[in-house]
Amino acid sequence: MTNNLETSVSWLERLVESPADADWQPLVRIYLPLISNWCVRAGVLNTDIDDIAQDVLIVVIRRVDEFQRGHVGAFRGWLRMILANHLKNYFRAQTRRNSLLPLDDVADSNSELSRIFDREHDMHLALRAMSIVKPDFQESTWLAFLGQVVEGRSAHEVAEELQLSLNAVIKAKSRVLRRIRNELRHLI
Amino acid sequence: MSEHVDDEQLARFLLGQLDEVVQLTIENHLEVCPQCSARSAAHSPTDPLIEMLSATFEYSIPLDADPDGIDSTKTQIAWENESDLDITQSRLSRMSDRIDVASRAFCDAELSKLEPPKDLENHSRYKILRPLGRGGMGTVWLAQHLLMNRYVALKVVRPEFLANVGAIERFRREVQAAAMIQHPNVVTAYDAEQIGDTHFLVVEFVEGETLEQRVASGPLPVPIACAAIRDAAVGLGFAHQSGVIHRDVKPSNLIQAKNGSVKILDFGLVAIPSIGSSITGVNMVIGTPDYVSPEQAESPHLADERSDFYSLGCTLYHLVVGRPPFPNRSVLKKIDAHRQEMPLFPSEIPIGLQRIVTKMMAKQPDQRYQSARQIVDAIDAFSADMILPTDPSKAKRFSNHLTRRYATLGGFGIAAAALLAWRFGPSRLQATVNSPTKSPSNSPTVPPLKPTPKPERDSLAGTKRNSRFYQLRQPTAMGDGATEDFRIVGDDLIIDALSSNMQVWLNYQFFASKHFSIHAGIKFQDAGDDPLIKFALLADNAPEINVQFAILREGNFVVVKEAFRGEQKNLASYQLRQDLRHKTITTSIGIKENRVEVSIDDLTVISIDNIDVLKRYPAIAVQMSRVELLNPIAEQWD
Repeated sequence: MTNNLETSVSWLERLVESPADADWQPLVRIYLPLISNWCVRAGVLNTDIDDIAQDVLIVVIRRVDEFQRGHVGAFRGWLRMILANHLKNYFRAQTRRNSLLPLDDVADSNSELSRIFDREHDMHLALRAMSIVKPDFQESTWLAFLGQVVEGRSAHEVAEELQLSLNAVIKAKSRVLRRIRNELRHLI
Repeated sequence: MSEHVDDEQLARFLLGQLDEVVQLTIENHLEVCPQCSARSAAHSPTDPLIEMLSATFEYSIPLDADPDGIDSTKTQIAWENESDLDITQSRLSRMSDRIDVASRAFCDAELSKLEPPKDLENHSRYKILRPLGRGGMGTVWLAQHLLMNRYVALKVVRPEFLANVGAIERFRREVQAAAMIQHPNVVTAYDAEQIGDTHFLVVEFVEGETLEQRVASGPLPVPIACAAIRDAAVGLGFAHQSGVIHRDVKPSNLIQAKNGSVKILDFGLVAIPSIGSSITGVNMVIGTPDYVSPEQAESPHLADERSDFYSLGCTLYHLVVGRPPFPNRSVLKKIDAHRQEMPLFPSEIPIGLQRIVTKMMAKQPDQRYQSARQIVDAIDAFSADMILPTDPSKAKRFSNHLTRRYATLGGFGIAAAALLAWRFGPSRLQATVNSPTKSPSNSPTVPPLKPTPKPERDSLAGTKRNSRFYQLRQPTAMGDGATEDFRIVGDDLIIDALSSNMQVWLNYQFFASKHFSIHAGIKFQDAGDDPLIKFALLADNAPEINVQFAILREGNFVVVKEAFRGEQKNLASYQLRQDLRHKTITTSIGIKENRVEVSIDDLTVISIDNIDVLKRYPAIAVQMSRVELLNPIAEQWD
């Protein structure tokens, strides 16, 4: 998890220093759907989801230095906590509605629910990053990357299957990973 | 670096953690140092990012399925025309596509919380019900026309598209032109309004999927794609006669209604994004880079009706191949490709269709079809290579047969095929491995009768190469038969496909198509000395089209039989060569890519082309367009 922690912090640091509009976009693009999804699952009214999601994102920005100081858990865990708190507040204020999700579980890192959240978060990030960087590569490069990293096959196997040289395949993996890492550096 | 890469650097290289300079240095070193190259191939360091990425693997395989589908069945077949490279690339490409789809799906979750524009909240005529989707132009809402009590789609145009007065004027003019087009194959534009700052269009609500959504799970069977494009051509032709050019024909602008017919969306609305505005580069080109004609890319003013035909050709390509003609490159390179490159076709696309698409995609407008009518005629002529059943009156008798088991085909105890329940409407194929699924049964709707051209049936006896392609007329009746081979559960046909020890359950759901669609269930079993391969040729829209092929051994002959409408017929029989007569013939069947191959004793006996294998799932929608007998192991005897 060390890697994620490093990248999260540097991006957020940058955001805190110069909160130009442009820096918000990646955060919104990536996290808004995730947060909204979870609001829907919790049973938040459609009309309120926007507000809650934005509130969560704002808190993330504002309290990023708390996170830097070694708040327990990775960025996503921290995000999850903030979301859980917001949801709790929301439902407390609602007289006739209860959360459809056990919110304590959302906050508890050891719960099954938060594991689901974390997993979804990771999946979402990985998928988004891959979609974003894919057009920048040639098809053969991309496929060589997929074969090694997503399918988990050896460089030799992939080189033989795709009829590329071993070096080409190794280079492909390295370059695509590098690009994805860069992308997530800005996005997380 | 003249010395070898140290372990830590190597690990960082393989993880993609190096900065640019060091990256290049190491890449260059690897080119000349086989030891370091070998070392890097041997290591696979991992970190949380890599774990995340490799976990996306689950999005790249079909749900509940063996990732390679039946491909991984042990087969004894040599794939003559398919290189391993093609297969691997296809597999990985499809994985890549599925990952794209999964990624988009996450973003679609935003739809659940969209708010309709405040300006429209209290509209006197329309009541907004729910969001339908988001297009390039803006959000589309399902609304109810309060007075006329029908559904409409409200397309709210994003404000930046109407940034200047000129754009608004253009918008108005185009919409007025589009509103003049009333045709079953065009989504009708009813009205355009402005309330406050909100501009919106009122168009016909069509319930169904766009062709883009349909083709997302794999290429469409040829007849379905042809029928769709034929519909689109008819609609285009009508619009052209009214003087309107579409300018942005593409799969997401073609929607398939519940009754199977295809309608064109967004006529005359393409002029809305103002050229040269600050909208992204893609929008600066009228048309969509994957489908835009060379002349239109150069200048929108050069576009005419034939530009629409070019885009339609690219669309047809996409439907049958499963991807646009020039994928995976930047916008500019795509436009270059339209100008200079020829589209390439996988071998399973029929030549006749390749010719049609190529002509539609001719670089020079003068070389293309000059009218929509010509395109319709060309597609009809291509489809007329089919053989049609002639006697609808036999339908009833046959459907009675089909609900019972019957022992047929030379008394070899082949269980009968069942009538299939079908559902009218585009649907996905699903598969389950080793466990049957339960689906809710839907009541089938009876489709209206469709006109079909040229019912002609060729004689098949004595021909070495047989072509079958059915075009159908009558609505299907419901069947609820169950046999050993097929079972109907709700709308699904479950077929046991047995090969050696493997049991795979295939679920079928059916496509609707204006004319026809053909699905085959495949049943194969290794039955010792009497190998039996059976295919059922089944179709929507006509219950009587339920054909079974069997390849079996009768004494010293290998016979290909057909059971159709209660009648059996030998299609071909091959006398076994002397030296094979005492052999135990083993039969195996393999399904790969778009082909099903049957081999007897290691020789490919039958290769079935144009099989649309939906790669997401092991379930197979097979369109039998040609059954070819290759490499007969026996002499033809007929």
